[in-house]
Amino acid sequence: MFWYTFWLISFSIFLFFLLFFSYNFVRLYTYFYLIIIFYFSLFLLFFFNKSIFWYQNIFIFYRLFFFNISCIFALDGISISLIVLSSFLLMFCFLIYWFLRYKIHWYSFIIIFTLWLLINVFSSSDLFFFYIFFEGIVIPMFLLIVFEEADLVKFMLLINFLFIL
Amino acid sequence: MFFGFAIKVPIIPLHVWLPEAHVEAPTPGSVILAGILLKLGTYAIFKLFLESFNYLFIDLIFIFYIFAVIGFVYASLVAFTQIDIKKIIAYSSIAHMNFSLIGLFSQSILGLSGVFILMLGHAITSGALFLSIGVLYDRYKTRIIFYYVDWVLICLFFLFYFLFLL
Repeated sequence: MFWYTFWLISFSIFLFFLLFFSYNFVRLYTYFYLIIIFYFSLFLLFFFNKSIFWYQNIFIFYRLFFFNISCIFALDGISISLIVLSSFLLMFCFLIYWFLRYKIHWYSFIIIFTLWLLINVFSSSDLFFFYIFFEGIVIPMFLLIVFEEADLVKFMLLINFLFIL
Repeated sequence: MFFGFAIKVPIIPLHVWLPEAHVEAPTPGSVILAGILLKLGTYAIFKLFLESFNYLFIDLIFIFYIFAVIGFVYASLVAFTQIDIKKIIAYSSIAHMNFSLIGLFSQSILGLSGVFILMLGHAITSGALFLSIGVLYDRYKTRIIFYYVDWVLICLFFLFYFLFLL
């Protein structure tokens, strides 16, 4: 579970540096990456132990970074099925952008970032981190919806939205 | 905190953002909205208010039942009156989510398992419906259903696929 999330974080950071590569490279790389994540989630589903009446794949961060707080990531059957569902749907969403858009960097970053937030929402057993990731999902969704066509009204909507958060 | 989750579900007085967001969103945005983000509200209610603080909600269950039934009927009736095809699917997904609230507060394992099967099925079918609407919008450049009258003549197989999804 730790490497699962760590890989997503490293990739979403690495996408910033991908701006210097060609569009086709980013497209292929992101799509194969999404397929690998989907296979990982299928492995989680297949190796799920139904006889245990408790969380599985538990990972605990003790004293995270410099905040001196700890957080717990754990999975149950419902969250595993939702992780499989979200990785499946986001793979298809990226396939739509494959044909619709030529400049793909921004969309690939948003989709990977959304997937990372979703997996963290479904796997966090901590109220604080659950709420942070739950609210954080709205930001890439809003960027995905609003910045299709830049407009002053939509920019004002963005400011209103950030106040609501 | 419950109102925040109720906006995400959406429970019916707080549902106004959803059809507008679906109309404004591109096709992948609609797929993510209908497929995953609506499930987040139900999952959060299940995770926090049924798993952790169950004792707080036992006396209030009939209120959620009333809201869910009113929302289910209201969203289904409003979906009849719409002419924008994305708004029709959006109101039908509101009806599905309000229907899932009934099972969520049923206090039985059978109801909960039914809710999560309904959520997975709704995610896949509504995602496929929004993908089909994206295909239609790419061809017709409109979402008003009155302009789809020659759909039968042009792509019959796609029409049967769409009706199968519905």
